[in-house]
Formats: sequence, structure tokens, C-alpha cells
Amino acid sequence: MALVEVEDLRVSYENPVLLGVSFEVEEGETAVLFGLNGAGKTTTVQTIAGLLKPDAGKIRLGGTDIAGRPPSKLVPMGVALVPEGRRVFPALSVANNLRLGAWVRRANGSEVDERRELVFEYFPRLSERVDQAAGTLSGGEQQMLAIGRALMSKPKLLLIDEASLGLSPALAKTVFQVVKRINDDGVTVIIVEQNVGVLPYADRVLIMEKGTLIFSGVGDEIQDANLRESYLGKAEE
Amino acid sequence: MAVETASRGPAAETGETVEGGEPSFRPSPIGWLARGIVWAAIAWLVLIFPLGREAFELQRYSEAVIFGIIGLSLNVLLGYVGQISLGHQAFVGIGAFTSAYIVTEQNLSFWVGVAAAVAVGGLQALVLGGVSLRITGLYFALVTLAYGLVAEKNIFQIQELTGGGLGQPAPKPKGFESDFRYYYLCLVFLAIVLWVDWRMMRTKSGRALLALRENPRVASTFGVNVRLLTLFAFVVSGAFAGLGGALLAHNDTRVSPETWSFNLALIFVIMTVVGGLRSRAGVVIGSAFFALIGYLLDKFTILQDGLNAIPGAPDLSPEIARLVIGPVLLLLTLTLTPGGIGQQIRPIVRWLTGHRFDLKDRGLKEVQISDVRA
Repeated sequence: MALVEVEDLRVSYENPVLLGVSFEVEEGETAVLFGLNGAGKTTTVQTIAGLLKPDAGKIRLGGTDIAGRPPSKLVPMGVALVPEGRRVFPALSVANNLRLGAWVRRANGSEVDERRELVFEYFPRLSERVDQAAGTLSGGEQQMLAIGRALMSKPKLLLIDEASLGLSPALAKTVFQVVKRINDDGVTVIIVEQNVGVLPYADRVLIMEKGTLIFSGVGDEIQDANLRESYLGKAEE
Repeated sequence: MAVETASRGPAAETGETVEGGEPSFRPSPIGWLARGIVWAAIAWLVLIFPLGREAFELQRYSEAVIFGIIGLSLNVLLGYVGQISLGHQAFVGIGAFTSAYIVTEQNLSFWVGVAAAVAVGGLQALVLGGVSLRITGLYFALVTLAYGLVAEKNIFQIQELTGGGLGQPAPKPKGFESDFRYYYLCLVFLAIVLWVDWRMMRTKSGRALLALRENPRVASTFGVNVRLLTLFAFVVSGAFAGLGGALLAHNDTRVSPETWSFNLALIFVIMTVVGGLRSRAGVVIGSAFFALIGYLLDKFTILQDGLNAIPGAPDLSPEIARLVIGPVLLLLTLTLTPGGIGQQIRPIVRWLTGHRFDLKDRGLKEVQISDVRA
């Protein structure tokens, strides 16, 4: 069953950016959105997250049309975004960053505590930094905090924009492994990426170019050598 | 599968915790004694020193305390949310006239007047913010500027409210008729505002306000209603400003329409920035300094004498002095110490609250000019 259905999505700033994008992501999948800069990947996830209003098209979450709804309505429905560049709040502590992530669940203190413990299970390093200002964390720790913060809202759908941006290959791999574990725990994930190192963790691959979707494949389809070389280049070993 | 990072941040390497302070550090008995002496000196300066002063001096001290409240009011909007109000004199002025009107025209008590001024301040902000907070930054500043001018040219000209050119009498409350008692009353109100501000910033909404200032777009991705929260901050700011206005009115025992010009709004903004955005102590000190500029010039004539020695230099009346000294201090603040007085005194404040004295500790993230989205 598809958790996310995007149908003929059109978005523009001053000029059209998305020219009619359609795809589906099944519940429990990890989908990876590839493409060069300017392909429309970030616009796509930001529109799903409610940060941008589409000009046309539909976005369905579990069958409900959510296109154009603001984040304050979408987060309680289970949509969470890890923004590009991490964007943690540098002056706030790790604990307070996490509490902000649980904004929509703030009335239920015990649930917030449970979510925090879960985040610390995924990222033990954060539990050691709980009172530390987020701005003093390393890049990898900040990425973990950004993902952990998004998990605090108990999402069904986790959107991650450029998970590996600015991270070393080893650290990026570690982050991908945790994302896979989050996915295994039942969260559907859509990752925007330019790093093909994420491929082993992907159930579905979507490739965008100039505002359109040029490839959508699952399983072995993406492992086809020609496809990899045509669209993604060779993975770094 | 647990994750350990390959790299460690600078704080990890030094073992420091920024928000958590230095858990292992405890001052020695001598250290506590030294802190106690400084605290006692501050208490003497604030509580005892004014006792033997002249009435006009006590009025200026009360004004300094009230300016502290107004500075804190603007700090909520400017420091916590990053929005400039260029019409704050309207909120303060309307608070002043409201309280004076309630006491003089309606023969109700000072306490009712103050409560009404707080309510009207909050209500103004609610209405103005409800209409205008769809826009932010420079455009919001322009809306508040326009509101200040509307208040100056229209609301403050309503004879029934303001008493016209003569102004509205605003007697001091029963039991606080003497200037020194009124000074202590103002101190109590300042303490209450400081406490409310401190409590507010420790709530979930307070943390969300800080997140809004840092990045409203990211904050909204957690479901934070940016407009609603900004409106909340504006209402709190308006309520504090109304309180400040009411106290100012009764301090001077008369409130006149010509007091509330755009110049005053500029002074309010400058004193808050020079004091140091998000630093309560800095904002109170900066605001008090701007309230006392005229008094200090009278008291310490060196500056005035120095200016008089310069051929063609203008006579530095208190009003002019604020407008001359203010921009100079603002320029120095923005270029040299964006965190203002609060940034400068942070090592002392930290030391006084039991931390190690560290001159380099000027805060994790200095206030940036870009904090103000205008």
C-alpha cells in the first residue's frame, strides 16, 4: 500500500521548478531521490513537508490529500523533515533541540521522554552531549541531532534532505545505517541524496532532472550497471 | 546498532559543556565571600544609595528602572523573535494615558490603572499584530512606525484621553506618594517583569521563540505555528510596554502628548540593542543608562565642559544628548560588540552566579546584526 502518492506535482518560484512530478512510495520503504543540483529534489520534499505550496497536483498521505497544508497540520499527521544543511539551533542545547522536535507532542511529557530515549538508542553520542549547545557539535553529530529532532515528532514519513552533505564517507555510511534501522522500525523514509553510497539501503530509487522524474525503479532495477553509469556515475568504494 | 561518530566537536575535545556550565567547578569559601561582597555592593547601589537623594534625583532613578522594563519589553520582540518595533513609544504612551485616565478621570485606583494599561498594551499588540504579522522584517517595522505616527498625530490628540496640551494628571498611588517609596515600587515591578521574562523563556513556548528567531522556516517544520507564536511575543511585549508607560506617567505625575514622539521610539530600540539583545542584565543596564544620560551630564559636567570648549559645538541638552550619544554607542555596539553591554558583562554575571571567571566567555553565539530580520 502506498503511503505517499505524488501526482502531477507542479511548483514554481518565479519560474517553474517542478513540471509535473508523479511517484509513489510504499509504506515501510526507503526511497532515494537522486539528481543534480537544480533538479527539483529539495523542492519536492519541501512541498511534501508543507513548506511550499504547489501550483497544481496532488500529494496523498495514506490516501488523504495533503497538498498545500502547512507543516503545523502535517507534523501531527506524521510528516517530519530533516532540512538540508542540518539547521540545528546552535544556541540551544541538544536537549532543547530535541524538545522542539517534539513540539506537537509537547502536552504528553512521558511520550516525549520515550521518544528522547529512542533517539538516544539510535544516537548514543547525543546522550553524552545532552546539555551541550548544538552549535558546538561536530558536523556528524549535528546531522544525528537533526535526524533525532525530526524523530521526536513520531513520524510515519521521514523526509531527509541531503543526509550525507558535508560528511566524510565513513560518517555518511554510519548515518545511512541508522536511517536504515529507523526504516526497519517502521518509518517510511524519503532521502534526497547525491551520494550513491546510499544505494545499498534503498528500496526505491527516483531520479530527477530539470524538474521532472526521469527514472523510478525498485530492487534490482537500480543495480543495472548501465543505469548506474548513465544516471549516477560509479559509486566510490 | 548504535552509532558512534568518527569525529568529535570542539567541546567534546575540551570536555566543556556550554549550556550546562562547569559542573565540576565550585567556588572556594573566599570565592563565595568575594561574590557576596560584590552582590552586597550592587544591593547597596540599587537599594540604599538612593535613600538620601533629592526628590528630582529619585524621579530620574525611577525613570531608569522603568526604562529597564521598557527595554525588556522591546527585548521580547527584538531579542527573542527578531522583529523591530519602531512604534514602541505608542504602546508606552497609550499605557501612560490609559493609567492616568483611569486614575484621574474615572477616580479608580492606581492598581486598576496599571492593570488597564497592561491589558490595553497587550490588546493593541494583539490587534496590530493580528493584522500585520503576515509580514515580517522591514515591512513589519514600517507598520509599527506608521502605528507610532498615527498614535502621535491622532490618538494622543484625543482631548478626553490625554487632556490636550496640558496633559493628563497622574498622581502617585496611595502609600507611595513619596519619590523614594515610588522608586521601590518601580523596582518591585521590574523584578516581576524580570521573573515573568525568565519564566517565559524556560517554557516550551520560550524555547520555540528562540528557535523562531534562529530560523522560523525550520521551526515551522516541527509544527510550530510561527505567526501565532510571534503574535504571543508581541502581546507580551505590548503588555510590558503598557506597564512601563503607566509607571512613567505616575512617576512624572503628569503625562503630556508631546512626550511620545518618534525620537523616543528610536531611543527605545537603541538602548535595547546597546544593552544587548537577549541579555536581561544588559538590557536593564543599557536602558537605565539612556534614562540617566541627562542626569549624568548634569552631575558630571566634564563632558559638557569638554564640548563647550569646542568652537561651534552644540549645547548638549538631555534630549539631544540621547540622540547624539545613542547612535554613536549603537555604531560601536554593532561593529565591536554585537552582544552589547550584556556581552561585555557576561564574565562578571557568570562569576557572580558561581561560575569560574573567564574573560573569554562572551557567550556561545554573539548577537549578529542579521538577528534582526529587517
